[in-house]
Amino acid sequence: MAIRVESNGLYLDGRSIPLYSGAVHYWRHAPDAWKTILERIKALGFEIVSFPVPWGVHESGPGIFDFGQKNPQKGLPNFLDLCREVGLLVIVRPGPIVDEDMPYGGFPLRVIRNPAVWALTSTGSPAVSSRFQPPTAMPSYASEKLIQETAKFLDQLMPILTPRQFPDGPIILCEINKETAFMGRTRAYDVDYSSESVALYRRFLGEKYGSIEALNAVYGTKYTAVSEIVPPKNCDAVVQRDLPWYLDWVEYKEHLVRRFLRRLADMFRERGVTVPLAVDGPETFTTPVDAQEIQKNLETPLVGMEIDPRPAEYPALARQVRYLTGTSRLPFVSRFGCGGSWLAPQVNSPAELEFAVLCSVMHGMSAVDFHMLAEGDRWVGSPVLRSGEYRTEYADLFRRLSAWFAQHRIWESKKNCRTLVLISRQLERYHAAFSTLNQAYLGLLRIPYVFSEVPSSLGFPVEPYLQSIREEGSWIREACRYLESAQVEYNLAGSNLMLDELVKYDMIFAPTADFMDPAEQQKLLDFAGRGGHLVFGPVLPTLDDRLNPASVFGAAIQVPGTQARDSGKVTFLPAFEQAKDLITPDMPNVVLIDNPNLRLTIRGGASILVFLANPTSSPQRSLMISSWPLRGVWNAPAETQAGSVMAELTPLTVQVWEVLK
Amino acid sequence: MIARDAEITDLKPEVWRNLLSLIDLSKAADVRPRNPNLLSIMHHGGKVLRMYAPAGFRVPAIEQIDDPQELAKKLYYQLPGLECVQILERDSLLLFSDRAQRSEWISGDLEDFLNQAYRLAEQDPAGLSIYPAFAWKWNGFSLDRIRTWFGSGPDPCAYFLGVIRDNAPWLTLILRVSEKKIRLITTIDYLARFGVSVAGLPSGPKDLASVCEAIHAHVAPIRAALICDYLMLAKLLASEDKRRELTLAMADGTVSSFGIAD
Repeated sequence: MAIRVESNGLYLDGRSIPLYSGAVHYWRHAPDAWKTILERIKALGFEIVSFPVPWGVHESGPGIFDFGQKNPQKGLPNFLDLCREVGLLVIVRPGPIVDEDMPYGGFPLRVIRNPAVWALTSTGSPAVSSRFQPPTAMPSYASEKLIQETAKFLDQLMPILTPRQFPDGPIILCEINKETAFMGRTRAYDVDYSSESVALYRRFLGEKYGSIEALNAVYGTKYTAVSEIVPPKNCDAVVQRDLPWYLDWVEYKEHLVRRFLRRLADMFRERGVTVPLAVDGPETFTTPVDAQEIQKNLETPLVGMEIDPRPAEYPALARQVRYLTGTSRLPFVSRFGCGGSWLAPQVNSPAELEFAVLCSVMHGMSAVDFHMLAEGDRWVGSPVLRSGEYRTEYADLFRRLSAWFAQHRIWESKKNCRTLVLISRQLERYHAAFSTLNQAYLGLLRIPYVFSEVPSSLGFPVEPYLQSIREEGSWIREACRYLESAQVEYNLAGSNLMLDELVKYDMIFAPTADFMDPAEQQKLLDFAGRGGHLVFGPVLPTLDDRLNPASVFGAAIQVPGTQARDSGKVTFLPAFEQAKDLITPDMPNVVLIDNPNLRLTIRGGASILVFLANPTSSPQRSLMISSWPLRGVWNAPAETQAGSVMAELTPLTVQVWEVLK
Repeated sequence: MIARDAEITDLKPEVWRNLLSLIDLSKAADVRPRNPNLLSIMHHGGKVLRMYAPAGFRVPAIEQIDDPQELAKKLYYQLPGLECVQILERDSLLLFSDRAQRSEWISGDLEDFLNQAYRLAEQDPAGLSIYPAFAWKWNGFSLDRIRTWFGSGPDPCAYFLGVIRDNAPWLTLILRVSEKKIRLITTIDYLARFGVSVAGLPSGPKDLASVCEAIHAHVAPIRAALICDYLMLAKLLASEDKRRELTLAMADGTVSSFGIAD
């Protein structure tokens, strides 16, 4: 029986269930505590648990595996069967990279110590990840040896997993790898320069350009074969013609991530995995990770994102969830920090966790896996203790949240959002490419951030580097600020979003550079042609992405201002000081507030819910004006109030009101 | 100091938050100043490429560097208030990163790794000229002193810290050390699994004996223990003469300790 991924969760056994789960690490608990822990998790309102299967835990010697035959604590089959007995469904994470604060990142020592699997830095040293404990060379996504060894592990593991897939067993989802983004070493010239990676890079160039002549024409070079090309190790671009070499390396790293995930997905499928696949994405949403391309490549909408909630950093949290919501039809936070590693600088209180969860829901999260529901060693602040007892105040929060989500059928609702802000892939690649001193361990020396910037002097009228979403003051950041100050909720997505997704929005903001892919420009004009309002800036592109003269936008509009285009319109907006009348009364909110420090979003479904957040560190109040009566359903007065309501919010809290329409 | 396979368990969130407010464990082995008053200059073969000065410091224009070590020292004394001056040669930076990741000690524990990395930086004083030199300190105690102290007890042994605030336990910390490495990090809640009633414990200096007895029975022989009031702990940590402060506090009964004063 096929399981379908839908916009409100998973469809199985003739019903839809929300993808609402939490992690429990079986090997970290005594087997006689397993059942109690699972029952307690279920009693908190969860129908699904998740767990990784750390290779290093089960491989007790070269090629020798223990799935509970010797050590009952490694009894994966028993644990899976127990999940079913308790009535819990399962998301399984076979890795091969699991991290999870495991020695050597969860790898067997013999594998991770093998130089044939190492990623290498630009100076040729192994890329040692200090996220592994102890610090260990991290694996290369290009390593054939890693793939071969992983295949051996999966050959042992899959006979346990595949017979236990739904409906014969509890497994409903299989997640590939953990956070495939070079273990956080995402800077352009840090990794991976292993020989296998460089060979793949050359193959990538060959496929991208088709012929060496085509490549030479773009690079301005005289190579006779791609095998002569070496990857850049630092940015030394002097003229615009130098750019493609650097940008291609950055693009290749995106390709490397996708290729690795694809290979793993194929290995899972070849070994009988029939349930949907999911990907655990890192916290970043720019290169080298491109969730949209990974979704296409793996044919799954479940490309999640890890979120380590830090309530005081609300803007970053909101940005991540807006990106997820703009990117996936089932916005899935694949690891939502619940508690923290003992090394984490902060352990959230239940109130802080509540704020982060509700903020994520208000900005669009519709599926979540909490990491971790049952406290393993080296972990602080989970609702279920190792003994199986509850940590009362945390358990109470989850009990309340689960009941409330179920009561209001939250996962079946969708955030009201008619505005999209696009993140330009080209600008983000440019930002990544224009960097130096990318080596990981220079952070130990407190190198100032500005030292890793390369003063760009390529002669572009508007400096592309400063237009990245990473840069304060960039056009895209100003677009977000402009929308927030107007209390207009928006989503974020990569500029490669397909037209059929774009047309779901009324208004799109697209950052531009002097160079821009003509097909992307045409797609955005088509959006306007179909009745949308396209706003772009700060510059009118005059070059294509290979720096040849071209401008598609230029044919539609040449000077700042707004032009009609078929049933829609196009606005060229160099700066937001000129953005006076962009938000028009045809974009109304059901509820209006008068305090710009607060954030308001609306989710519509079985009921219409208004989320009002105070992300500041001081108490805030606001008049809420609504055409319909309101009733508080979370942290707000429960009696029905009509017309205008005065809302008062303490710092870092969210109130939810139901619109009684 | 912390064994890679140390058991770290039964950490009550609020207690752990309190501990983190005393010491940022994630940076425990970080020897660099946290203070932003760090003047950084990067050069290539003597030619200055970039300079970063913290706000409020007027650094003279420098184009060429002949003696980076001397210049670092000179700037440090010339600009009072700076925590540190570092003059970094570009190729030496790359070499540092490269050598750090090739080193044999790479697979030691995280603290060893970081400390060895800083030692490595010190081995290239001409390329990585840093003044004053690295010196990790926590409330006046050097890392070496702390390590020596932890490693000097019987094997195994245990340490306990209890801090009281508003008549309730604000922080409890139990460490078990063996073979000079911390093998267990936990709080008083750990003792509950052995049937010890831990609610409200410790409530004051008077509980030292009973807590030590329980730890001795279920963790390891006590090497040192301290129970004190929160304000007293703050005063103690800030004091220049901690020994004297501790002796006075013990005399007036606001602190109880075992194995600390020496």
